[in-house]
Amino acid sequence: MPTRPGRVVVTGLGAVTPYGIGVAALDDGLRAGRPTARPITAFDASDHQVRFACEVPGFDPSARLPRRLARQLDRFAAYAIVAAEEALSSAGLLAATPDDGLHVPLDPALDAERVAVCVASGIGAITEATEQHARLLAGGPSRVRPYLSIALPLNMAGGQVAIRHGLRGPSFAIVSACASAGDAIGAALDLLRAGRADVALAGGSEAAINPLTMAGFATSGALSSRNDEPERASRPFDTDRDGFVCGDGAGLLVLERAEHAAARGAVALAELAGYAATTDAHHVTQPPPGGTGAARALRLALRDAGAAPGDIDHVNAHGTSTVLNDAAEAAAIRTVFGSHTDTIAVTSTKSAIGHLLGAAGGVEAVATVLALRDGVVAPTQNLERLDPACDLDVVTGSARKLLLRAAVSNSFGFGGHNAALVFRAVDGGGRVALG
Amino acid sequence: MSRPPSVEQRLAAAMLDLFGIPEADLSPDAELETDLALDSLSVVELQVVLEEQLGVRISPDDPSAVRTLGDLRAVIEEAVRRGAPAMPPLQLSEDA
Repeated sequence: MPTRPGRVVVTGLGAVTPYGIGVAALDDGLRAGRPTARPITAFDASDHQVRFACEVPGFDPSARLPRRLARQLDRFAAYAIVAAEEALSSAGLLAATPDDGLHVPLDPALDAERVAVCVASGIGAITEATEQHARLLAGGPSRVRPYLSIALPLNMAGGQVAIRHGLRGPSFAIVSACASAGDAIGAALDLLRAGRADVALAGGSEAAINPLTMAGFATSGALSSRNDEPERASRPFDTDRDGFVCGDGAGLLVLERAEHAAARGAVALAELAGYAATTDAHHVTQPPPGGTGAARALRLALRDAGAAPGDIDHVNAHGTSTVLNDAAEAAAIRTVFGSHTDTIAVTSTKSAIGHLLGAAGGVEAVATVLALRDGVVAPTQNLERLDPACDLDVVTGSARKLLLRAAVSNSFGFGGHNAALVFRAVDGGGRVALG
Repeated sequence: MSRPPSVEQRLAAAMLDLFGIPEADLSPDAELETDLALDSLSVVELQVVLEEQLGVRISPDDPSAVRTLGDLRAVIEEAVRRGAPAMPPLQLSEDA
């Protein structure tokens, strides 16, 4: 595969999702179309309007991480740390020698000062905030635990990841609501293209299944209220959709300058070919009619990738299962791809694992890379009657095997944020050749 | 009726629970920062947890003089001996 200067490839993946820990669990679950929405166990939701979500099953930070580290973390950062280790390990970037538990260093052959960390979150440490606030009200200021100050900040998922692995390049957290992880991956692409780093760990992490967040999303009317049939609640593009389902987890990519990957003989899973972000400047929660802001992001991302609309075979849609998003997104896709739209296999990962908010774009980027690597598009669950306002070829029923050359992953957020990423398949074996 | 755990027992239990440090590592002259790798926030965290269990406020006159586990234990035992000012019990619907 010839390599243009400035090209960036994906060499590692990590995920913590409602299917459990690891990319393999995500891949299996998505392909099989297994639902994950269940009654909430994280707290007593009996008096809540919405009493179900897509939780990460059996996640105990103290069992997976050294206790002194686990104590410092809100759940959102713990997800990021677990996903980061999988991503770096699968990219072959970690040292072979055993660690001291707290620190898991990079392979000493790598320059840690050239590794960036861009881990986003939309909400951050909401459980830490609410629990410590309860202690403040009940017992006064001296009852607030000292770790609040390091568990709370939104940058601490990436900050802790950097400390754990000794990653000393640029690191920051991007916040753009449910577009956060998409924008973080795009920002990492920009860092690598600008030569500010050779490797970047990028994506998002979220743990928003919390009484306060769930109450707020429910009263705002954004959530599906199908308490009697949680497994059928997330139904993107379906006529009977009634809102999104909240999900937890993290999804991270290892991005790498193609020359750097080639020099160390790394296997590329896909190329991250393009990114664009736009803002609607229209309304806090509603997309403009026709999804014009999203369409503009799509068009600019294709241009950034040097791709034509006809090159795209698959779209991993934002597909939230809200009435407004899905219709506007479908309109945006049709505006940009025209008649080629009918040959694009569209799917929504949120039908399976719910909406991971600031982490959604990270997990969905992982899903998009898996689709390109294997030539398999996972099905959209619960799509029984396609809304005529969502005139797309949505993959339903079982996974669809097909030749995929390039794919787009969309992420949109409250505030009018639109992010689009373009990934290209690499040839079999995934070796990056310099040409 | 069993006796309430001693300060030493509570300290050992908290060290294991909070930081995963086994009892075997807890000699009185173990340095908090170097031998046990506890930073200043960890020591405060330990203090907050023990204050809650014992219902007393632990505020050493000179925190920088608390260098070893033995120093810390002495400060806590002194706070228990003085017994005041007591911390009111924390009433939470869900324990944080």
